[in-house]
Amino acid sequence: MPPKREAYRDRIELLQGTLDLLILETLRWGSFHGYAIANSIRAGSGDLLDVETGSLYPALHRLEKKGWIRSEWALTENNQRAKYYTLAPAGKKQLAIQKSRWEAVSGAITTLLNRTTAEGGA
Amino acid sequence: MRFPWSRQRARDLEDEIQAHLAMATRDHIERGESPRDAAWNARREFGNEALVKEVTRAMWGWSSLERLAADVKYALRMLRRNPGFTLTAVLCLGLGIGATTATFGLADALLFRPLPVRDPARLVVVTSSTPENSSEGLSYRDLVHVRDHARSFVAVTAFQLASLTIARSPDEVPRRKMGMYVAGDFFGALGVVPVLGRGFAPYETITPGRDPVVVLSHEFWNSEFGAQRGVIGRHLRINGIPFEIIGVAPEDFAVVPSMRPAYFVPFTMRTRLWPAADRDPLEAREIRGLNVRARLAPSTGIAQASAEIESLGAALAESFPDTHSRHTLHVRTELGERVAQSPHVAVVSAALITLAFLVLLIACANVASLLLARARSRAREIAVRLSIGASAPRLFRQMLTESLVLSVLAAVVGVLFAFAAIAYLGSIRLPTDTPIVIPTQLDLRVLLFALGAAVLTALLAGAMPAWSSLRQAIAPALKAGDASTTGGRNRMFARQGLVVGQVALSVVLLVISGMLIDAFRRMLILDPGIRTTGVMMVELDPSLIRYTAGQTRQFYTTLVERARQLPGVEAAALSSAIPFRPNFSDEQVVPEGYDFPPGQTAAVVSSSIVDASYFSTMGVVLLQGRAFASTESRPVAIVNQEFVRRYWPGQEALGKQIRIGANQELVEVVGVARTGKYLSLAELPQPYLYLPFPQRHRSRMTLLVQTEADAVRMAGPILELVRSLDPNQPVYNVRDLQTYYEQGVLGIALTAMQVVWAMGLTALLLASFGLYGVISFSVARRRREIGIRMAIGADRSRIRRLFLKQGLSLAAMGTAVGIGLAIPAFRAASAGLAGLGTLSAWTLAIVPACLIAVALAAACIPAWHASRINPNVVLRLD
Repeated sequence: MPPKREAYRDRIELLQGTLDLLILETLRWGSFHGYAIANSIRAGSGDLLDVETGSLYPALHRLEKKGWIRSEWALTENNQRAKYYTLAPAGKKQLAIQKSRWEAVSGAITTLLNRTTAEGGA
Repeated sequence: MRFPWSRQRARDLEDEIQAHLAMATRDHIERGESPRDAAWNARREFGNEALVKEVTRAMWGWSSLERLAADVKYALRMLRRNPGFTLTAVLCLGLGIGATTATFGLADALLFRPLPVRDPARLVVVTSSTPENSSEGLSYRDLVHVRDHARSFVAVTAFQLASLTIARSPDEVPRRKMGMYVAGDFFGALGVVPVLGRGFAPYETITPGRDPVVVLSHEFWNSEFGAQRGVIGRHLRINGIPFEIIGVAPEDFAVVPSMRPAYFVPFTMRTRLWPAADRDPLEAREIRGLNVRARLAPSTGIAQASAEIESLGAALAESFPDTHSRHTLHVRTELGERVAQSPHVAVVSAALITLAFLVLLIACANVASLLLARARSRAREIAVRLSIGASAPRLFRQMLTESLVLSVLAAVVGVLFAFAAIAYLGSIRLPTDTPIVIPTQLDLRVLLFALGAAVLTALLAGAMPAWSSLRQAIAPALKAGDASTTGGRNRMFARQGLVVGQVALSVVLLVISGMLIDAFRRMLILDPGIRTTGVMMVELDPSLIRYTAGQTRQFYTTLVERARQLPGVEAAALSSAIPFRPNFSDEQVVPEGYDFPPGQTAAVVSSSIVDASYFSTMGVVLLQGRAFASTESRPVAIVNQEFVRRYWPGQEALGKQIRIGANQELVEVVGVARTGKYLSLAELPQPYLYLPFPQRHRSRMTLLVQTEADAVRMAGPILELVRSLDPNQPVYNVRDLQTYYEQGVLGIALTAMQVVWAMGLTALLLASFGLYGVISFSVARRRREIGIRMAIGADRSRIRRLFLKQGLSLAAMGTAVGIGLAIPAFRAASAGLAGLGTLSAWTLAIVPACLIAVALAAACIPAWHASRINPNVVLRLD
């Protein structure tokens, strides 16, 4: 396989990982359908993160395929049939792993950025 | 293509998205929008619904089956778009797969197919061997000894062919049918359960002559008893003795693949059924007529069994030095036994399979070369697909799928070819009452073989082109287009070499089949050494109704005298054998004054017993001396010219003496007959010995009646005559010599010729495909060059000639190599087949001419394509 494609795939995985983390974190609070997850992420991030449906649903289905979340059909309070997602035990473990990894990475990036700013400003 | 489970998931996704939209719409309405605006805004926020579905579906991943289905669909689309290519490739591979499948079917029928018994792999053959004969049977006493002493086997059984008369009732005229004597618990040892009734009980196979019980074959039960279930307990008269029917064997049961015996009787009944035998086969240790099969004990290997049986054999040799000193016992596999029994079948099968695989290989090479040629034109498409994100393994797999689809289509075509060929082979009837069949059939094994050949073909033909087109595509194809030919020269050279090889091989096959046709033509006009028209033959055997020797002699003498008096009969004669049927006996002879090489004390020569008028009736020419007289005062014989040439070269044969048989009886030569053909038209000259009737006789003789009228019309009067002499006299193999000769003798030669001829034509066809492929490829590769040539003034006919010349030179080279190979190949073939004669200039001229013509035709199409190239288009394109 040509090397260029590897790099491309890495980039996608990074983005996917972030969304996965957000979804898992949301589901920590209970079971939600896709629409509610999207709203919750948007509201929870102060409207900063707008999850596109084109990313959300593939992510949900992928997480389900990996066995990190489960789904079942249920009725909403408005009697609307919807697919509810719940965190699976494997998902809980993943959430912990990804969270700590994210903290490490973001911490590292913050440190790096601060240093660069300091040097650049000197 | 969508599968049910993914259809369910697609519906789920649709519902999920609709729920999302419904909830979003409701929220918008709650914020005070009109329902119409709300729905529209929800949809807008959601984005491209189709795209969302698409990418979500992609997350499920494709099951490998779905991926295969998609690849197959794509492959089919590609193949439909190139019908010319598809047709050529499918026909090519179809011919190859068909040829291999048909030959495998034949070899399977003759050699490989396991017996229809339980766990055939555990069934082995026990034989005795002498230095001269590696595959003799065992005597009954030895069988019992092995059964009682060998610890390697859980069961031991044996069989021997029997030719007895049967009748369903006492007043029915007995007919001769082939069956089997079987020893011990035959069906139990083989693990075969009768479909009706039972097999032999242990107590029924011990006491000589006590248990007249019979198991019928399924076919016999069907044809003679209309498959009635009430047949058990009824009686079948065998050689006049009523046998109780105790069972019916399963359909298609066989212990020798080509034999379908009608009935099975205990070997212990043998002496009662055949009292004329001078020594009792149940007692005599030197009568080794039993074919022994034994089932290996659990966890006993064949080597272990072999060792045990060999030591048992050595012990027997010590106990019975008179009869066993030269014999050793061996254990063989069924396949080993079949090869030992008919080594020529093994050789022919191996040769045919090799030939067929060569044809398949040529076909693969052809298709690979076609695919390669196409891969070049597809290099750009592949490069584009790679650059927009298709992965290389995925493309590789897809291209392989394409050739797999091709070869599966070809397998279908091939199986049809094979089916026709096998149906034809199956229709060949050997001209005898003995139910010998070539059990060719298109069964699961053969179909699996065809499928295997197809997959192999796909890999052979597809992998290399797919790999090479990927390699080409990854780097330079996008930039350089078709013009770059770096590294192509070697490959081109290799492919041209391949075509030369193909042409050469087809020349060899065609020359040999041409020779066979030539030989066959000569065979038709060749004198087989006997009269072949206007003779009716009837076989009789009065011993079946218990005639004594004297009665038999008297019966035949009266019969032939009366036959001569029938209206329309020119001559009548008796013979114990008829030519081209292996029913003459082998006689041990010691010709007077001949010095045998050291270690040899006698020769074995084919012989038959004939009466005084045999030579004139059958048109056998006597070169010296006289025919037999109707009564001879002293023991005499007539030999053929080959006998004289071999044993008394340059000497006067008349008056010489020969010692015959085990008791060394002296006979005097009174005549020399011209050497004829005895077993096959293609045989080399064989020595032959005639002995006189009624001085000697055999219970089984053939009455030959020669007539000027249509011989077939004599059948009625002859049978009438036999009845008038003895109404119970069984009669069989009533036929006219002409039909027998044309079907039985020429027919087999014709079939052999047709098989080789078909192989030759197939090879020729494939070679022309190959030539077509290589020229097409060369045209594709040189498009730019052609464009330039045309742009600077070459006209179309010049371009055409360029490629025709290329095709012609390849064909010429191949033909030259082929002729060079054909001559030694022909020499090798003619050493074994006397009928081939010499290389005829006629064949040597016709075959190359045909080939060149076919080559020209094959090169014409791509050459014409080349001449249609538009220089404007080609030069701009790159």
